[in-house]
Amino acid sequence: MQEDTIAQLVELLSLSRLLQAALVLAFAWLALRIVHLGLQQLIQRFPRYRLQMGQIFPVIRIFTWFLAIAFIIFGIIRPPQTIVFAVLGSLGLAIGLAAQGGVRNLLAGVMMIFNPPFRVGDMVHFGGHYGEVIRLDLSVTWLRTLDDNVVMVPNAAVLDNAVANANSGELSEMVVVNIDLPRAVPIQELRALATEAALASPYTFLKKPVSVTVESRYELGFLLRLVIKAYVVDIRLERLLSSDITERFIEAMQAREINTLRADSADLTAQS
Amino acid sequence: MTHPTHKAFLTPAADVLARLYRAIFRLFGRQTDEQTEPTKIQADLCLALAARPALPETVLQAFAAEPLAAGDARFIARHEQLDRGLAALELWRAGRGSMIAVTGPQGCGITSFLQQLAARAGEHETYRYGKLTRRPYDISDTMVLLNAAIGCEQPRGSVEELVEYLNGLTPSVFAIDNGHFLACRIMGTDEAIRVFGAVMVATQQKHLWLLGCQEYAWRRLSYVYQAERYFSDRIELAFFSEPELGECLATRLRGSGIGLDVATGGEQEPVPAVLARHLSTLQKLSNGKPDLAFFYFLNSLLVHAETKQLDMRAAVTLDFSALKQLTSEELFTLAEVAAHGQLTLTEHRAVFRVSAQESRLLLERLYHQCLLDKDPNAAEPTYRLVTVYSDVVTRYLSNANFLY
Repeated sequence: MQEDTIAQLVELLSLSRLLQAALVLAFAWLALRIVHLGLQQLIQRFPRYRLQMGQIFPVIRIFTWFLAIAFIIFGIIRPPQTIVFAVLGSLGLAIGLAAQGGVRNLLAGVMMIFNPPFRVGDMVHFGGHYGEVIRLDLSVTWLRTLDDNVVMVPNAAVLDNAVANANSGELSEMVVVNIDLPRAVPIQELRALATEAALASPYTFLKKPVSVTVESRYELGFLLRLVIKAYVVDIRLERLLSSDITERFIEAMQAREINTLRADSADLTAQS
Repeated sequence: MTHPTHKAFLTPAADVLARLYRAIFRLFGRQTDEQTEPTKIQADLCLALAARPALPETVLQAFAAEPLAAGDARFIARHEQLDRGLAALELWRAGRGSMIAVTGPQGCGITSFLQQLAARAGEHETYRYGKLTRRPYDISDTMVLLNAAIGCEQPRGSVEELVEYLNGLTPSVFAIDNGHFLACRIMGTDEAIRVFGAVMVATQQKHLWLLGCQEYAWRRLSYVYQAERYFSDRIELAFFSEPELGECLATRLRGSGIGLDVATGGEQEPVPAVLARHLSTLQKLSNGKPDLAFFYFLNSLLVHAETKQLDMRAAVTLDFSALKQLTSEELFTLAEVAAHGQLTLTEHRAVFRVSAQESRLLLERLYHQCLLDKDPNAAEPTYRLVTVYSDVVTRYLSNANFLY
């Protein structure tokens, strides 16, 4: 019985069928390449919609490969049911035993297609890493971190951990800048300066509000923390905006001769 | 020997195949040997700007892209906007002053519109047109500019004094142009904007304030200072529609003294036939922006020396590929220049926090690519978008998410 099955399998995988299958795979690859290049051209022409266009390709890729493989099996090889069941059974056992994590990742990938927690171009906290999603595969997600490292995160992480998405498909995202100051500084004046610094940065997205709040902290002495919240015009400029606001704020303090060191010593004197 | 009918069939087929071949190559990011199609010749920006069309002086003068004075016959369309302006004038006559913003993209004709409203004010009514000549940086600066804009002969030094002076005047219409100078991203300038607004708000019961402001500057004033909440109406000026553009071009063409209606026995057609044939292309190329339409029109226009008959050749489009080569720094610079209306070297330094050399390098590079224009009369180098195609640049910046 087993020998019959093997003989049938060998017969099914004739050279012409293998060539046809290879041709279908090559055609699927070429079609995907053309779609990918076409989308890249569109993204270059309409950068404002790069996130929306970027999310289309992973779905197209998976469906194309799925259709190609289904066509090869049911349109070219056309195996009898016994072979299908035998192969599926063996494959299932082998995959189940050898690649538990891999199957889990695949399942998570399929789940992410139908219920996407993020898309290509989003800034996410995922699998312990923070960065821009640059590629979505069926089993892994590729992130580019703020340090310009490319990190591969298994999709199964989405089943086990929370995912934080900073922009949810929009190009702008909130950037939080914390500035710690001694307690004796003129709060109102500095709050106004911080607001102005955030509004003056060319990377701030003015359509959304800028807010500055003050928190009291204790770290080897009492401190004041200015929390500046502003939206960046493009997620890729997140660090640039953060640095720009901080620099503008410090320069403005220096221009107004608000000496934080002096204020610090005054604060310490007051405490003693 | 090829049969003529075969040839007639083969030529378009070969053309289609050639187009397909080029399209596939372009898709893969490669250039074919044949760089351009003969129907799509593109002109270098700098050369096109420098070239002067070989046309009679009267034609060139008729198409000069300058603001139109009150009552100028070349002012066309804008009926709905004028009605809204006149409604505001009526309310003011009835004792209800207010603040009206007149906004639109650069080169849409805000100055001309404000001038036309002056022509509609009564003989014994006071309509004062003034403009901001530069950007105010602080409170005293704003007071100087405001005093000049409203024509105050004895300048007042404080907000209270100026408000008192204005409330002592007979009810007037104050049209303040170049409001884009108020939208500024330099730290420390927000007080100047608040002072300007305070004077207008405190005197609006008596006077009608009209503020002309470019679109992107107005948006910024609205995002940051909620400017739209203080204005009772905003009159938006858009570029011309195709029929309006046809009327505009025909009016100017007739004003140039060329006998357009000879062929029709002196009977005036709304749009002369020679123009009507190319109007759709002109509208598409210029997006209805008058000065860009004039540019394309004059470069396509042919006036026969002897017969004085008009003809038009296919428009040669401008080549904006330089925009695609710009870095994000350069695109941000263009965006800030567009939103501010113009930037001096010092202002650019303050906005981007870069050294004088870096600022000069960046701005001069954009100037030499003919994406920026430089004011030769200004004390300090001052850069603005090249007015003729500012709309093309701002649309590119908006699409690339640098301007909003």
